[in-house]
Amino acid sequence: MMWEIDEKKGEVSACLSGRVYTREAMALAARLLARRAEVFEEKGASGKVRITLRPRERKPTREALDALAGDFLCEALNQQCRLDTARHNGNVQKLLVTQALYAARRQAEAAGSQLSPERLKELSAEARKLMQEAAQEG
Amino acid sequence: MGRSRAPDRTCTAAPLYSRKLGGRHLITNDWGHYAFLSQEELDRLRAGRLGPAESRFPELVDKGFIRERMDFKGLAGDFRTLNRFLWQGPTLHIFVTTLRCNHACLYCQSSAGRVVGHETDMSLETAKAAVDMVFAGPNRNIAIEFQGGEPLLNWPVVRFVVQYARKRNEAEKRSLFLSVVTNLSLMDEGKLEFLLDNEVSICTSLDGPAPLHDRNRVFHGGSSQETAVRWIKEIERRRLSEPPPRRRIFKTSALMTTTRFSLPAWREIVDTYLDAGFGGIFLRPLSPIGYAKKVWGTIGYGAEEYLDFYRRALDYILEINLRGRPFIERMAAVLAWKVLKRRDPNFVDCRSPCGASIGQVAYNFDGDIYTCDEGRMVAQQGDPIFRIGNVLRDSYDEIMASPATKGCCMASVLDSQPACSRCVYKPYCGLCPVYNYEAQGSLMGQLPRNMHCRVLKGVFDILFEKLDDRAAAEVIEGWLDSSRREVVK
Repeated sequence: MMWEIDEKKGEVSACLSGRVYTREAMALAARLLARRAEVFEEKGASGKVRITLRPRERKPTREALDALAGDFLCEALNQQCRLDTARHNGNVQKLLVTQALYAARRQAEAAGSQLSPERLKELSAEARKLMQEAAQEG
Repeated sequence: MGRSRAPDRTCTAAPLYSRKLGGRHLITNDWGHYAFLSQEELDRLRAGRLGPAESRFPELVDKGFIRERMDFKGLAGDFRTLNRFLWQGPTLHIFVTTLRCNHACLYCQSSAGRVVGHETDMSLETAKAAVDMVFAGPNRNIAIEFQGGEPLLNWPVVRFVVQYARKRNEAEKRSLFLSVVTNLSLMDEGKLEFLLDNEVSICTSLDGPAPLHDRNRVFHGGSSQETAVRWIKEIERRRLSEPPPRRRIFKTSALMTTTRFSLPAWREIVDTYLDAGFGGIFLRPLSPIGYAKKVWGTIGYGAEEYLDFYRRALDYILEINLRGRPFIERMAAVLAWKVLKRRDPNFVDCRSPCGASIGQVAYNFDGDIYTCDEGRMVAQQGDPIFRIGNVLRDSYDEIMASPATKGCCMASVLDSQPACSRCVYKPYCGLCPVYNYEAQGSLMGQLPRNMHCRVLKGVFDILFEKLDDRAAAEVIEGWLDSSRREVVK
């Protein structure tokens, strides 16, 4: 794919295939580059999407425009691969995350119930005493 | 291993990951097993032509690499042991008792050199609420670690937390481990006796010989390194001279931070640790997180530079061991613990999902709670994205259900990362969403261009290369026979 660099306008654009990059991947890449550039999207011919990148820096050089275009494609590809991987492995991911978070929360209820409210009250009083001692020392 | 075997029929390869290392192929699987195969063996395994009559076959069956002979019950047990943290909740609780510090370290974000003013000191009320939050968690193993700033600058809070946590644990009866990370410059007889009496482990910073350490860790009260080494030796003297069981004195440990200035001094750094009497060293790379990100151009380096430093230092350490002096490199030991023992070494930085919130929690001086200390450092630079709550306002359940907790958890599952999901080191590895966010702008990052990934992959390459060498492998296996606390931070 060829990027068209317009140094006068200070922007770079190209038509990306909708069959390779989903709109979601392009939107995620655009979001990640938002601090560096404004990203515009237009419908192109035969299912393609025209992406235009306009850096936030003034008077960008040709090299800077070229680098920005490369970074956008790299990120779009990364996001697309991540989405594709998630489609295959999403269930594994959800299972591991659910297990980790569920264990941390569910067992907390059991752990919390091991001390009676009376014992917690006693501990709180002892803590107050220790706090007074520490405050005096400090 | 005595696993059940199905009758001989076919012998196709079970799901595996592979990487060419040297002249051979390393293969691993999700159960945490590994093997080295020749090109010809790997080809035949993949083609289903490596049969029961061959010498490697029983090993590959036992390790879960043959699809038709998998003992799911045993292998699931292996997975569970290797990933025990998935069933536990947070172990490590970091208390930032103050941001004040009497050092002005090149890589640290704390209020360098400022010791006056108490606006960044944790209050006693906040400290009590933080201890209560610690005990609201489910984990039976709890480690409270004091950090800063220099935690000894807020001594009343350190003292109170130690006393209150010990008192509370008399009722809770959990395994409670307390440690203080200090530069030791404010240590005195009274503080040391209190810490030793209460069995608080002492961890300090030691970046290497005095010129290097003092360059990294600027201190206007003399040589920071000489002060630290003097106290390290004093604590060790007491540890060795006191007869148990009056109190259990832990061996002092130290953290080494690798800056650009450390790279040529790998031998001197290891020698400094040997001379100070340490049993090992953790060759920790620096990450461009928080304040270090701002000064990365001065003190930072590339993955390849770090890996060259690591390889030279590890080779030297192995040589020392082969000459008869046991001395551990802790990063290799932690990773080897996973690879060889297939057990979770409780190392929160290298897990899938990572330890953010579910393995460690950081309590800032003002009561704000973060996914981890690195997340707190990002907030210190003005971005509170990794904040998960506040000890005075939120419950334990609320912090575990916070968007930052869930986001870090989801983003750090290696199976969902394109570069990680087929990586040979996936069973033992982990990524850091905070690093990804700081270096690449998103929690998920872009692993092929990620320094954290390149460093870990390089360290794993070096480790497996050593494990494939009989003499080096024996040394590393010997490290795992040491007590667990010696191996793991």
